[in-house]
Amino acid sequence: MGTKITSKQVEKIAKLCELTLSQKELETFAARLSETLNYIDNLNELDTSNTLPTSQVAKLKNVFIAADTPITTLPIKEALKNSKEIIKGKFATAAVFER
Amino acid sequence: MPEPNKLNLIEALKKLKKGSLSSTSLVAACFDQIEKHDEAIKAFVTRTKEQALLEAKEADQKIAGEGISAFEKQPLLGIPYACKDNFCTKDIETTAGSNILKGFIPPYESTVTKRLKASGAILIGKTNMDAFAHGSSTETSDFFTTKNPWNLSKVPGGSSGGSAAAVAAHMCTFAVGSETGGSIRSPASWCGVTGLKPTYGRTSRYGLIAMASSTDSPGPITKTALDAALILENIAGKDPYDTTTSQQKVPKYLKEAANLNLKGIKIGKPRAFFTEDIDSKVLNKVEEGLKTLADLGATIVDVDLIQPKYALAVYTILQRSEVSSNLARFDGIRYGHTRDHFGFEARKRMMLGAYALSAGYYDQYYAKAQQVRTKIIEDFEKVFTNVDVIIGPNMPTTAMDLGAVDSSPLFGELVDRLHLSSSLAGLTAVVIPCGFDKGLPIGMQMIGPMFDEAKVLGTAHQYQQITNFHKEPAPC
Repeated sequence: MGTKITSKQVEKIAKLCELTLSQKELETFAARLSETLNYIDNLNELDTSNTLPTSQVAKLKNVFIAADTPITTLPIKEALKNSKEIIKGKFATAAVFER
Repeated sequence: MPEPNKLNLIEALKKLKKGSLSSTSLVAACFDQIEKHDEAIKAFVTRTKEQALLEAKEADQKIAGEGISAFEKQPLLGIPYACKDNFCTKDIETTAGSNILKGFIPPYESTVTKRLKASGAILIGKTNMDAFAHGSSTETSDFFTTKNPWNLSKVPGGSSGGSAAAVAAHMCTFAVGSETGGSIRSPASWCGVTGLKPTYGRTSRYGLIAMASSTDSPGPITKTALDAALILENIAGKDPYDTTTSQQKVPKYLKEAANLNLKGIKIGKPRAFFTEDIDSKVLNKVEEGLKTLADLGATIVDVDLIQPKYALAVYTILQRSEVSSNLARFDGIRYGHTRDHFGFEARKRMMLGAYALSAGYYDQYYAKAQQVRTKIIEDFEKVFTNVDVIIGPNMPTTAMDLGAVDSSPLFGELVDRLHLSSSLAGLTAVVIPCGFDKGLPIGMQMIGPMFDEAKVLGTAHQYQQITNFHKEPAPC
């Protein structure tokens, strides 16, 4: 019953989430995610054909920070403090095109 | 005189102002209690004793020098508090209960802790939580499980379990937590303390490690409703760093709550919350609580709300979706460890969110959930045209045994099902103790319209004026 997620689909989702899973984990997550979907497959019981989706619960629109509001930003040294690898005062990342 | 750490916030302030208690002895008493009991309860992940005692000494000097006027500038001067470990505290390790953030030292301060500091409150430590706030038992913390101070074989609830346990065990005068869908109300209920979930946008999320950004609400966990009112007064209000905070003026919550008259207050009793899947002992105590409020002059009427099962579905979809987006920023480059350090629960939630947001499923799940969310909001708006406050049970049982999280893939949402609709609608709600079953506290929740904190806190305060459940001490 309900929607089932396969290991193959989990593999794809895991890739989207940048997560590496073992074969056993793929199966575990497939089962757990399918179980969860069974709880949430009831929304079609409600008619929403004339209902707009909520985008912001407090109904705020177009909030901007006033141009004269002083905003402090982090000094470079502080911003880099938790980084494991720094090259020439910048964050070091893995090369994107080698992935 | 009771031990200083057992005083509530208002009592402690009175003594500090009178000079019959020093901040140093209050802070020291809290650490004595922590050192005596935290090995068993495990509420704290980080303690800041040295700094706290230093700040207490400074507070005492200010009080000695300026007298009572020191409290006009700093209304919480010299008061020790515990903070959930998902609020960034500058130069103090902040982990959100997760391995991926172990060792993370924030270079900036969250708005809530910054405002508490400006008000004179003293941070005594960071408390344990479900990792990234993903849970309702504090068992999904990547470090250890916090125990319920009322019974060490029970969970404290979550995700702000460490904060609620610290208040219940009198390890601090008050604590702060955060709620996305029950994370303040659940542990407040199971630990027998007062927990306030403010309106979405009333308190700033800046520096709070995000879970679901459209419902995350920081709030106080305290010993009384008036304590929560005073804390809210000091942390609420517009913050330029969080554009979703409201421009609305911050009322004098303490004064308004203290002066509320229940005569003329109309309470809605939602039929959908009083159902047979809720433990009968819990229902009986909440019914007794409603009767007490009626005796105080409130009118009680039955109201209809959308069934909790729909809120559960909407919440699960939206929260997972927002989690998948919010946790994407953990790349191990700027801070934190690599993504293979994520725990089971975080990975599960991210993947469900990515699934719900992916091409082909977006309309079926995310878009539909946001439409049903509108229906939930409209449902509350309709009910609040007729009543002032909605009151019902919040947890379906008293605190569960350790290991509860393994009982269901949706454990958190199922035990939190009576919290989810009000969270999705951005409403405010307070939970206070209203009785006990087999030595375990039972909570009662009072839900109010957006920005009507004064009314829910006032109702809770009137109840606490003539009942003693909130004064019952946990056995430690």
